[in-house]
Amino acid sequence: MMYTDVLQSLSDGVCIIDQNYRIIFWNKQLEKWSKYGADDLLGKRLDDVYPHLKEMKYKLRIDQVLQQGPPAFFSMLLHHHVFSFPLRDGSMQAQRVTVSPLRNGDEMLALFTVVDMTRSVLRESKYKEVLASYEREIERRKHLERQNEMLVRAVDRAAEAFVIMRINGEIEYVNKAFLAQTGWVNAAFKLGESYWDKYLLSLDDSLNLMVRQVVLAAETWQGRTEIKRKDGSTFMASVSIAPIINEHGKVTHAVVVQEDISEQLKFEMQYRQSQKQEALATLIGGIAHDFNNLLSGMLGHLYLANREVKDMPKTSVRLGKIQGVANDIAGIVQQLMTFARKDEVKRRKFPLGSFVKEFVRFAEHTVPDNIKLSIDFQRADFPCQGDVESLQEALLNIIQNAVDAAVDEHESKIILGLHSWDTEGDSIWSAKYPALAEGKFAHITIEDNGVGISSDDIHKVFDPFFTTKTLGSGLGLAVAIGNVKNNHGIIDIESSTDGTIVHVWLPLLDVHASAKFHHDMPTVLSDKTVLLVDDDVLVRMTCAEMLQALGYETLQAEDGQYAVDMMQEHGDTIDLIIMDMVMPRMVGTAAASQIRQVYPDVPIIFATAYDQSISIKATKNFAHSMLMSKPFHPDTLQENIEAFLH
Amino acid sequence: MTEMTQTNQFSRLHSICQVGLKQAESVLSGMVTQAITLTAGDISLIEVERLQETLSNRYAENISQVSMSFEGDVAGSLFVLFPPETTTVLINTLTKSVMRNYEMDVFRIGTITEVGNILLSGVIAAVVTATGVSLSYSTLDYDEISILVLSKQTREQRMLLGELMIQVESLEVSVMVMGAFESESLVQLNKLLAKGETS
Repeated sequence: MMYTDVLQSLSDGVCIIDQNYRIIFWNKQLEKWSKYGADDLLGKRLDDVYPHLKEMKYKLRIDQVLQQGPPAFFSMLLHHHVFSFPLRDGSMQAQRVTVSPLRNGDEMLALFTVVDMTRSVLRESKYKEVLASYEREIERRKHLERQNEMLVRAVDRAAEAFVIMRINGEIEYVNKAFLAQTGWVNAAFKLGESYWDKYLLSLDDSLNLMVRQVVLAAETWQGRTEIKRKDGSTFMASVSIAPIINEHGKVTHAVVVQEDISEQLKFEMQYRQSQKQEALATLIGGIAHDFNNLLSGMLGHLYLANREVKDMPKTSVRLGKIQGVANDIAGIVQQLMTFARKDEVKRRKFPLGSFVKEFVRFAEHTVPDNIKLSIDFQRADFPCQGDVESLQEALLNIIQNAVDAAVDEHESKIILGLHSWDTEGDSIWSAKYPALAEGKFAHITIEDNGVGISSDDIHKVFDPFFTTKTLGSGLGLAVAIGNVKNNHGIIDIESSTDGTIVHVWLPLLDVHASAKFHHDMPTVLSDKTVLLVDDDVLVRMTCAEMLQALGYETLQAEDGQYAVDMMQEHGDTIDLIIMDMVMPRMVGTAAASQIRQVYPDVPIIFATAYDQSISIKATKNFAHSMLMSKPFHPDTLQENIEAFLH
Repeated sequence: MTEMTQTNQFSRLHSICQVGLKQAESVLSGMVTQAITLTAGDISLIEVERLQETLSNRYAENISQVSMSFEGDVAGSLFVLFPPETTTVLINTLTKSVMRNYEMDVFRIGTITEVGNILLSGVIAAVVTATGVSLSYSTLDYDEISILVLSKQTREQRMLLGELMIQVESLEVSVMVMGAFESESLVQLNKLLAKGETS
């Protein structure tokens, strides 16, 4: 009796069944959970009340217990609800059930002990939720920390300078780029100083106020301003100042991003300068064209006049001098056109010795009187092949650099040298340029006694836009190296505090081969007809007279369309065409294309008063043709005509 | 011969255990509706001084254990020792649950206790049937314990130790079954086994 009372008073559920599964005890706790009174259940089969207990997974083990076997244990996951006890919320009670053997005399009974695990499960579930939320929070914080670290690393290594400051300007953070920009890399930078006062230079009071107001109004200010370095010097920077707003919408800090734009400004200036040069070159090209047409007429008439006054020696001499002056003018115009030309290498054979001598005469005009320009020449022809205009331009640029370097020196001088290259004599350059040892070269040197170039700068002097001059374009030596290379030459520079030497090596032609370009005097041909096409009456008439004087028959056309028409009429009698490039109605190349459809082999000499490089591409595709610059020299013109008609 | 040191006695015990495990295998398979294979390894008798070393060679510092004590003709305890790193995997496989963490909660503890109970019940029922001993059982116990503590708190001088392979689908878990018997009980068991062998 006493045991029954104990079992009734337990907080666990207790049930006892006999060998036939009949319920012989059902305690109060089970009454409470199951809503069944003990009186209702006693004597009934447990597996009738809870039919799922008839399943083998229960029955087998309960039977084992009833046969005095070891106890059975039913867990929540494998056996969800041995007893289906509903809870108030509609769910089922979580329970752990142990079935133990119980001996009653000779009879073996089974004792079910049911432990309510609902609270434990709830507690654990809550514990897990809390744990999971902690884990999520920890993960979120870790993620934020990683993100923060990544941002800090990115900002710290960014190329732009970053500053984070309080709104009063007190600096709280600067990155490495800022330290580098302001010269604090190797010095102890002090946080807490005012960005406004210490680094911003040129903000006047009103601008300063405006910037601060913009930032305080949670807007971003962007502009260019000068920034002070540690040593007091300044640089121009593109600055952006943006507010940092806290979670309450209040501006607490500002972030400054500043980029040093000194180099960019320099490039902008150089670009503007090169644009100016481009415009100037176009202007000069146009003027030179007009000058050439005028000179063509003038030189032609001078040539003809000279032939007509052969019995008046004094007049002939004077006309010869006028012709010389006109040729000089033509030379100057040619120089202007060289400056204005784009880039097209026109290779021809020429004696470098004579070329350099002529160049000195020309260069003298560009060298101020206080600089002594002297020469150091080896007497020889130095036969070369190349584009003389581009070489002249290269040497002129080098001379100009020498002038700039030496102009302020006491007893400043520039020495222009020309010698044949002796490979054995200078192993340094031969070692640097193996090509020098493989062929014959002329060696041009331009030496000045100027300030010299620093070792930091010397490797940059051939870079485009590199200059140490205030107003330099930085293109001079860049053009020089390009032109020398286009002529298969080599250029280099050496410098010390005593001055600078620029070396130019140009390949020499074989002596026997070079003999070919010493022409025989042209012979006069007759019975040949030349069609002369030019819209400029003066040029056309003068040239016609010149050709007639040389013994050619001439026909004339004032533009391309006329030329096509004349060829249709007289094509069979025309042996050669001299065709101006730029004419109204139909340009020279268009006319030539139409003519060539009928007369594919008729030679054409294209004439241009522009720089040849502008016209050369247009005429390149025409076989049996050449391009000549106006004004024509009669001998050259005859030479070229002869070459075609021979 | 007072001690179970002969190979044929171990062999007989191994056969009995294998019968018990077949029974447990059937119960477990029916319960989780998955094919489960239980295989008993060799059984050895070890001194308690070597218990720590033996277990440390197989497991990490801590283990999960399900134990059942009994008394009667022989008295002692049976233990199933689960490696902690695979206990959760085994439970998740048996219950076809998704693994979120390795922590043992009330559900998992209940499950592993039940699995241990089925294994031990199978073995002990087979021993009872084979030897005819009469036993009464105490309730089950689950604990997570360090190998060191387990070795220190074991009062018996010698124990039987055998490996048990549990294979569920592609998962294979090795657990240890340990029988700790009071000195007299070990002698008694030895006698009963020898008797059964000759009969």
